[in-house]
Amino acid sequence: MNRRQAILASGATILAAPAVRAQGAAWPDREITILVAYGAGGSTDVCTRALAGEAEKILGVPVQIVNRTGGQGTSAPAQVATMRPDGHTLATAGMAALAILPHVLDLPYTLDSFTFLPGYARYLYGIAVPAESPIRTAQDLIAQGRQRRVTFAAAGAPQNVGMFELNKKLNTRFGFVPFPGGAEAVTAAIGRHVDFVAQNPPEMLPALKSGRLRLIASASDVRWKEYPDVQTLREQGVDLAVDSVLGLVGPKGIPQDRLERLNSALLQAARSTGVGETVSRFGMVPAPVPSADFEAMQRRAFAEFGPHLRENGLARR
Amino acid sequence: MAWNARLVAIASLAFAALAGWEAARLPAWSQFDGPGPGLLPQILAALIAVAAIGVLVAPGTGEPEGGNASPLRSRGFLGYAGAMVGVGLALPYLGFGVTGFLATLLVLRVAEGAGWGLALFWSFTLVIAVTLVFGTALGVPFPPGPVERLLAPLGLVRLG
Amino acid sequence: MMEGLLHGFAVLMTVQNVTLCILGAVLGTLVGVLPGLGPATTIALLLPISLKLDPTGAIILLAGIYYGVAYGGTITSVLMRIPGEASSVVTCIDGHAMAKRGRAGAALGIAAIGSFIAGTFGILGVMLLSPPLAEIVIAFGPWEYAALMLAGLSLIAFFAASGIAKAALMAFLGLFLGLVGLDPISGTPRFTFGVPALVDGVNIAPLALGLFGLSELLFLALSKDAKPEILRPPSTMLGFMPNREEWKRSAAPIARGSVLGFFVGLLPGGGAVLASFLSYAVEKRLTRHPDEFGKGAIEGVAGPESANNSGTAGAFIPLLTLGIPANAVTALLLGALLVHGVQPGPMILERQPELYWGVIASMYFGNFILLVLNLPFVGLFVRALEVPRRYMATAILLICAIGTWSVGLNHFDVLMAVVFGFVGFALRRGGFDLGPLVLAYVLGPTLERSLRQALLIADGDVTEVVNHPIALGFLAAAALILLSGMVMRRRPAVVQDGGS
Repeated sequence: MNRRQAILASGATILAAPAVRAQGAAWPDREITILVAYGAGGSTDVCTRALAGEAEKILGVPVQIVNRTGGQGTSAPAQVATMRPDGHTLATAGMAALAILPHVLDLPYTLDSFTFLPGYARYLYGIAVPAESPIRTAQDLIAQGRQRRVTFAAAGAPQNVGMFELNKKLNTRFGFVPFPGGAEAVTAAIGRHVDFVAQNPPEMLPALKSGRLRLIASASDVRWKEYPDVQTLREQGVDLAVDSVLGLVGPKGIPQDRLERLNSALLQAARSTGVGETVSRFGMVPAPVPSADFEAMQRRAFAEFGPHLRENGLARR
Repeated sequence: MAWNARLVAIASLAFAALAGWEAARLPAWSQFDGPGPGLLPQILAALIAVAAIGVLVAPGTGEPEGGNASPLRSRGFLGYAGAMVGVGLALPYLGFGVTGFLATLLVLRVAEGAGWGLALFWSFTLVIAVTLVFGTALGVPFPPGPVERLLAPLGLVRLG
Repeated sequence: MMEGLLHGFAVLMTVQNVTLCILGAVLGTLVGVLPGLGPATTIALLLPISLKLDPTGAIILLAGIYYGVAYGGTITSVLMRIPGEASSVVTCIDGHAMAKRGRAGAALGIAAIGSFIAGTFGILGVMLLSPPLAEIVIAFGPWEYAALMLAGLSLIAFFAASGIAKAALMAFLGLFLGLVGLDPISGTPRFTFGVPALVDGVNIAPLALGLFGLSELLFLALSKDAKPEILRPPSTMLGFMPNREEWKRSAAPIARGSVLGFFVGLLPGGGAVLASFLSYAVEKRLTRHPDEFGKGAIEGVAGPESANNSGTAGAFIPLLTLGIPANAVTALLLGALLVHGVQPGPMILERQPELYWGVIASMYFGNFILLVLNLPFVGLFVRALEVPRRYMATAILLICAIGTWSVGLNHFDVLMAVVFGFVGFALRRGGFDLGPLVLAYVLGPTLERSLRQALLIADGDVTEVVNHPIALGFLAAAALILLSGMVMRRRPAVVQDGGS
């Protein structure tokens, strides 16, 4: 599939070459590779492929995907940090790789190892309880959390860090029970093995729709489009919003003119309807975030998460 | 077999010691009233040691699988073992084409005692066949060696 | 129900879908036969192409691969003692021993037919019992899983032909190997020594390929024969098929394997592997020929292979109804479903009936195609055994090399496979059984995680387990299994090398 794409695109480029050369050899002149930090078929992979497809049309060169899994999302950024900063190799990077895992693992990179590019997809989070639970609103949850230990299932950060923040601010006792994946966490909640679950929409929707779970709040900045009547935590008076944006990074030192070209092309691609549709299918929100904002977001999260992770025994030091 | 089993048992004891030492650096109990990352590894290191001692005591009798003769005296074994080690070390640097070719050649000449003609022929054929099936047809990314770098622009192989 | 199924067949019977089903099955078999290239890699490679298809077609293709791999894995297990995947490890024991006795065809034939029957049973189970079975998955919490894993580990008692100390050592080592990687609860890296490839744990592909495939290579190298020695190879075509006696002895194991495998495969976390080991243990316990186990007992192939396949079908239930993937492959299938806009969950029957029934129909059809494909070629496959060692062994070496590389594209995996090759060689020379190591390695992580989750929820209170009857039941089963295994070793019919 990549071969065919490459051949077609090279053919098109060869035909267009005379015109391009007339303009003065614009960049990019050959294919761009994006390393995807998760396996093929996953949400990150498919959304990035959609983005790559759009970016191809704008940049006029093939944008190919290579899956570089492992290290819970860090191997792709780790590899790209070591590559030549010519703008031809990029990697996906999300909150896990940039803001959370640097506190937990010994990684060969820091936030300063990268040039930041735009973000394109935002993960939504929600809090749901089993249908039989007496908890109906976020305030109920906080009240319960102050009285007794309330356990919650989640696949990991950033939702658990959010709950830790609440523990600190509001004196609640939310106990985190980790599960290997979102679906397992949701099932644990359905089976009433834990008191509530904090996960993403795709994993929670089937149980919510069939009535086994009840959504009490959206944990993000916005309400879920499938449940527009369920308020966010902030709207219910709880000062927490769990935000996680997926974006691209490149090695530090990409030349300014190439960087601008990439930024504008990727931002445009992130705004396209094709990407928007694909992103929504995975229960995410399209998030064309300019690179400067994306970088600021990740740096802020990195600074905030450190203390919480340490206090809860999840960080190295 | 007893000798071999005892050897494994001693190696396991050494492993248990190293594992236990490394595991001791992890907290055995977490701050949340439950086992920490170190508890199970520490317990297992102890259990491995106990089981290893049990094997030392009762290593079993009979002929070891593959016969009593020492493998280190067998040309066949040395040839294949050498090829395996060579592949393990060189694959990411020399790529599949070169490594596979040399490994097959080594095996055929040293372990199988084949003539140069047959050895060269089969080495070429096998490497080409595997590259075509895995690399071209199935699109598996290949280690970036000299041969792969030549083939990649032709679209026959993906570099990984 | 019947209209649903008929509707499903109608969906299936388009030129596109039938082609995809067959393509998937064939590709899956090929992938299963080629060691190292697991189903996950193939499905991942095909995923972009599948995006061009409609959802039903894509799932049919990918599900076909999933099924085909189980069949293909059997072939290498029997012929070369190389497990195509973790659940084929058990087949390597008696299946390969049968091949050495010249009964490779019978082993492959029984495996194919047993798999078909079990697969059909499993699909029936999925069709009829999905809603109630989903409830079972939901009822399983951390305590229940921990107890189930302990019960699974106690099966080691049935793989202790070489002595309890040896089996225990293998099990403990396997458990330890399973711990390498990030701690499931605190995320702390354990025993990774800064190697990125170990952060996700010791990968099963280099482990299995090394322990089984490369060690087998070293044993082949050691033997004086330039050609693999087969005693009494069959002379006629029919000789490649199971004979009457073998059919008779296989009937009950296939039935038991189908049922056991289905229910065990239902539970995420070790499903098909646990199913095959469990079936082996059960057959060993119930057989009239216990001394043949390990030397080529047909029950040791019929049972596990059937359990394997119905387990594969069972794994679809949590996938389709709860969106829980049982293993890496079903995780990919889940991703594929999501990509195509399909929301797995209890509503899938109502919201996307044509996809649901289309997939079920394709499972029947795929199973049937695999049977039709495999049986006639059995004779051909068995001929592969007669290829002179120099060609077969070098081919195995090279295929294992690229297979191991394809997993993570890093050096460490390849080195690890080679190291495990030598380790496997040393272990087998010492008379150690590799089965317990693999079983422990697969079950260990889930055991630790579940136990710690349970304690987290109970605030460190171990006595909480008494409130969980299912868990208590499994603990009792574990004790029974251990006892049963020990008692069995005292039977006069069983001759042991080096006692316990």
